[in-house]
Formats: sequence, structure tokens, C-alpha cells
Amino acid sequence: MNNPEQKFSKIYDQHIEKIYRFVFLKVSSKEIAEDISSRVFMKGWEVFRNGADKIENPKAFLYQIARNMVIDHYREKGKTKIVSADFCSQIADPKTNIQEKAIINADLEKVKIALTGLSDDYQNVVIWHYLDDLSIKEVSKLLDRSEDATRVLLHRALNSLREHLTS
Amino acid sequence: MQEKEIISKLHELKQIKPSTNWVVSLKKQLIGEQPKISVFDVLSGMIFQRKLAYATISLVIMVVGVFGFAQYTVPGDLLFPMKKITEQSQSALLSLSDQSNYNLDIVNKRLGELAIIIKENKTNNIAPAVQEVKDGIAQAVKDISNSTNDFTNIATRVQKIQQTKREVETLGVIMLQESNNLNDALASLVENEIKVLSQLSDSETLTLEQEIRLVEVKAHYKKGEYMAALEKILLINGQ
Repeated sequence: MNNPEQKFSKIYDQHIEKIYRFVFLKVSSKEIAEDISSRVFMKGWEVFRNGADKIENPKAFLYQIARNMVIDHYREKGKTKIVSADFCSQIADPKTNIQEKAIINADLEKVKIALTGLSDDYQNVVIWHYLDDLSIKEVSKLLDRSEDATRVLLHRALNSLREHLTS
Repeated sequence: MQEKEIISKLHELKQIKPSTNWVVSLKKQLIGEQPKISVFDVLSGMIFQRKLAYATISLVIMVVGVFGFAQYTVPGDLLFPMKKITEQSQSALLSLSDQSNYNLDIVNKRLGELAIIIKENKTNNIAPAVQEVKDGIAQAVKDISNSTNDFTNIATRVQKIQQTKREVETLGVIMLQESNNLNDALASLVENEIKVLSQLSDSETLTLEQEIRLVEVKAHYKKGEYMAALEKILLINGQ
């Protein structure tokens, strides 16, 4: 497996679901999540094609592009990132809602909405550690923090999530 | 909701997945059609892994060796089935007409092996070898009846079978039933050839010697001695 297409194909297969989920949990819309994820991988492929060797950690690289694109999305649209739980379920894509509701029970839906209400750093640390199964060490590298600082951040993020759920 | 419960619910959020169609179409859009991985790519990838390469080479040598050695076996030997597998594989690659020729050649080969077995007094191999010849002749009978090959192709091979069969008979193994079946299978073949030769005779194309042999051919045909008729026809045809 030497050509860039095959290498990137493998990277794509390994990360597409995670990147999509990461974006989806931040934008709460299937269409927007697909659009941003597409652009993440297009950008990723463009950079990869022009110098695959420059990318040391494809996972971190893709997450970084995704984070930036989500920030750009909110900036461009002038949308507030923090949305209330009630409003969030209204703006969420109706098709997605039907699909998601079919499989996710009420508590799960609450957690999803509460997660959307967290700050960017809190969201990231929770998604990466609990949904994408990244170790504290990996998350700390993505956040450019020490492992201890990442543990503290994760602890605070969970507390914040609990508060959102009880409020 | 307790922390454990929250974490458990977070894990459940892994259910959020993109649609398969979107995933596939985006991939196509990005890097074109999926590269088709050929059997060669997979095999070469495996082969170039060092340990596997040694194992593969050893296996290939072993298989080639076993199959190669099997070519020198005779019916009743342990590796003879491998020889048959090789023959059947070769036969499968041929056209239908070539297959019937090949099968006739195999019958002759089996008769030759039977002769060697008897000469070398391999008593344990005689019964399986005789059975192989019987099976081979039965197949040859079918092939001759259904064959669309020209007379010469079949006749020369049948003649060789007849010659080797005579050698085997002198060694004491006579397969009367099979001989009769093979003889009878030649009836229509000989009949057609007699018609052709008769037309040539009518047009005075045949030499005197050929005319005499044609008379003998017809006599053999009337007596049902198709094998003998076939051999005389080959002489007329200058084979």
C-alpha cells in the first residue's frame, strides 16, 4: 500500500465516523455535519496529496481541521454556539431527529442536548475521551495541554454536563 | 443522573453514525473509484512478508515436488490420484474435441502402465490398473460415439490403443468385454469412411492396392470387425 490514494483511503475509513460524530454533536444537523465533514476530508486529502510525510498524526490533523471548520461555521453564520436544550431540539434537522429518536431514548437525547450546551473545550474533551475512546495522553496532545491539566478539564467538563442535565 | 450513568449514556452516543451512502459517495468524490485490489496484489503483499515467503516457497516446492513425483506413479500407488488430478486439470483446459483425443491418449497411457506393472510383477497394482483401463475404455467409447473429430484423429489413437492392448494381452490380461465395446463404438465411424472410400472407388481415384484393401475393409465391416477395418482404412489413407 504505497500510493497516497490507498493510504488516505485507509485514514478515511478509520476516521470518517468519528469526525462526522464530532461535528454532528457540535452542529446538531445531519446536513451541516455532512457538509463540514466533507470539507474536513477534502482539506485533509488536499494536504495529504501534496505531502503525506508532513502529517505525523492524521487523527489529530483531521480533528484540528474539524474544530476550525466548526468555529468558522458559527462565525460565518453569526450563530451562537451555546444553545438552549429546547431550542436545540427545534433547530436540529427533522430527519435526523426522527432517526435519532428512534434509537436514542429520552435520557440519551438529554445528554446529547446537554453536550451541545458545553463550551468548546469541554465538548472536545468529553467527545474525544468518552465517545472516540482516545486516551488522556492523546487528548492532551490534541488540546496541547499536560495530561494532568486534561484530567482536570475532563472532570470539570463532566461536572458541567451534570449541571446542564439537572438544570 | 450519576457520573457513571452520564458516562454510560455518552458511550451510547457512539450510535450516531453517518449514512453509509454518504460515506461511500464522499470517498468516491475525494479519491475516485476505490482501487481494485487484485489477487496478485494480495498474494504479493503476503509473499513479501519474510516468514510467509519462506512458508509459501516451501509449500510450493512441496506441492510441485509431490505432483512432479506423482507423474511417475502407476495405478495402485499412493500418489497416483494426484497424477489423475493433474490429467483431469489438463483435460478441463481443452476444447471438447481435444478432450476426446486427450482421453484416448490417456487410455493408451493406462494400458502402457498396465503392461509395465505386469512386467515388473507388481501384483498389488494389477487390479487397480486393470480397473483404470476399463474406466478409460468406457470413457473412450462414449467419446468416439459423440465425437465430431475427423476420422484420422480418432483412428490413429484407437490404433495405438489397439497395439498396446495386444501387448497387454500377450502378457496374460484380456479384457474381452472392453475390447468388444471399443470395437462396436467404431461401427459408425468405419461405415462413414467406407462410404467416402466407395465414392472415391466409383470415381476411379483409388489405386489397385487401395481397391483391394477397400474390399477387405468391407469384409471386416460385414463381420463386425470394426477395429480391423479401421486399421485397413488407415493403410488406404497412407497412415
